Amino acid sequence: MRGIIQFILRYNGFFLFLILEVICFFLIIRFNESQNRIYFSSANFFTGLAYDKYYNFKQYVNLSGVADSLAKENAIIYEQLERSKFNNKVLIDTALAKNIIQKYTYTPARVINNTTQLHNNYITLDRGAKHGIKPHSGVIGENGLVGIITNTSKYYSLAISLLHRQTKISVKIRRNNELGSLVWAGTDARFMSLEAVPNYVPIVEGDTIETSGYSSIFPEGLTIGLIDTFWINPGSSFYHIDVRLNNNLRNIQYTQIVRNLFQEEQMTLEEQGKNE
Amino acid sequence: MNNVTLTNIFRFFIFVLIQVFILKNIDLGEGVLNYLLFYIYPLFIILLPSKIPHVYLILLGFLIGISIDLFYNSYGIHASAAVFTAYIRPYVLSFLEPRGGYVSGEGLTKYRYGETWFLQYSAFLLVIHLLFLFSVEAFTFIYIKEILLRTFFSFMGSFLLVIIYIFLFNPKD
Repeated sequence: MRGIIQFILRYNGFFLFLILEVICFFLIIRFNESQNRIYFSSANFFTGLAYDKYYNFKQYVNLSGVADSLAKENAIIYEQLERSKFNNKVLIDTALAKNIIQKYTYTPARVINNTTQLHNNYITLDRGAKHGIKPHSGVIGENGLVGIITNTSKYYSLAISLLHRQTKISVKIRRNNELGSLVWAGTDARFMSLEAVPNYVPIVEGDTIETSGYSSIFPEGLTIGLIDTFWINPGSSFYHIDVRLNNNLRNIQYTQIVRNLFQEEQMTLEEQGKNE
Repeated sequence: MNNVTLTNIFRFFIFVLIQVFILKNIDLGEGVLNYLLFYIYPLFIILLPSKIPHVYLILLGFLIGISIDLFYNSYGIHASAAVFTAYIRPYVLSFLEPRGGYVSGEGLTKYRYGETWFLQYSAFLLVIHLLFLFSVEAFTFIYIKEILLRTFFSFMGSFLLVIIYIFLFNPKD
């Protein structure tokens, strides 16, 4: 015991130094936004690298090198789909040379960090600003949506997961085109809630929910899930609908980052309209 | 309270004022000049008397760092660099120890230890301080090139200020 005290006294400068540095770094992370983001997003070099290495190992075990090339092919095929195009045809002048132009581009990305058990979940992807990823791009998986990009660093980007309290996706019911918005209640990773569907709309269990295309983020017609159960709370004029997600967000590995090339134009226009 | 203490208290306030009201607002513009920032407050740590207990030295470093942080809205960044500089100072001093050793309680100035020694000593601590500061500010080593460029150019600017101060006033303590 005496020895320990003597040791501490002998190196008291060092311990004070350590304590003050810990306080400083706490302050830095607590009060400085950019450092905070670097620290928490895990889109930072070291943790990113660590996740990357971990993932590489996992990938080797899963023999998913094949899937890598498939993801690339998928991106090309997605881009050729009709819903990725913008119909530029003007009826008055059909002589326009290029009537169909590219509206959405797809970049394959691997998930290197993902949570589903928190109230607000984030996903880190291994594509970043250097690969042309911009915030407000959508992230989709094989069977449905995954999230929306919020921050990008040089090589990584951070997306808020569908499983985030702030997520709100504009969707419709495929059978009758009724609109609603999809939110997450914060508990079960398999289900999301469909809100704002009036109680006079005829719906049945098993109806397919897909993106509406009204937001500037996701293309129209991406399947998200099926209506699992629904009921009307007494006195409410809206349904309470549970939607079972098609994709399992817990073990998602490959994603496509969707970028709407017209997003800025649409947002600027809508912003202008609101301000007038 | 003796003279040395008063000098250092005075210097603390003067350096903080110069730093946050003058040097903070200097903006030299685009390109390489963007990397040139001026720092005078590390000179406070550099000039503190020799043989000051290590604990006080570190606490004073923290104090001036956090004071600068309050004005730069960068809680903790300057403080961590100043604490590190204060922590490392005795080691730098023992590394650069002149033949006669240091006299307890006197200022580590050009007046007492000569030009060559002081310039070496202050340059050493200044580089350490700036390198630590910009690394913490970036908070990641992805931007190592920017950190080094910023350290290099800011050192040039700040060292010039140190030289001007020392040769203009040539303080005893």
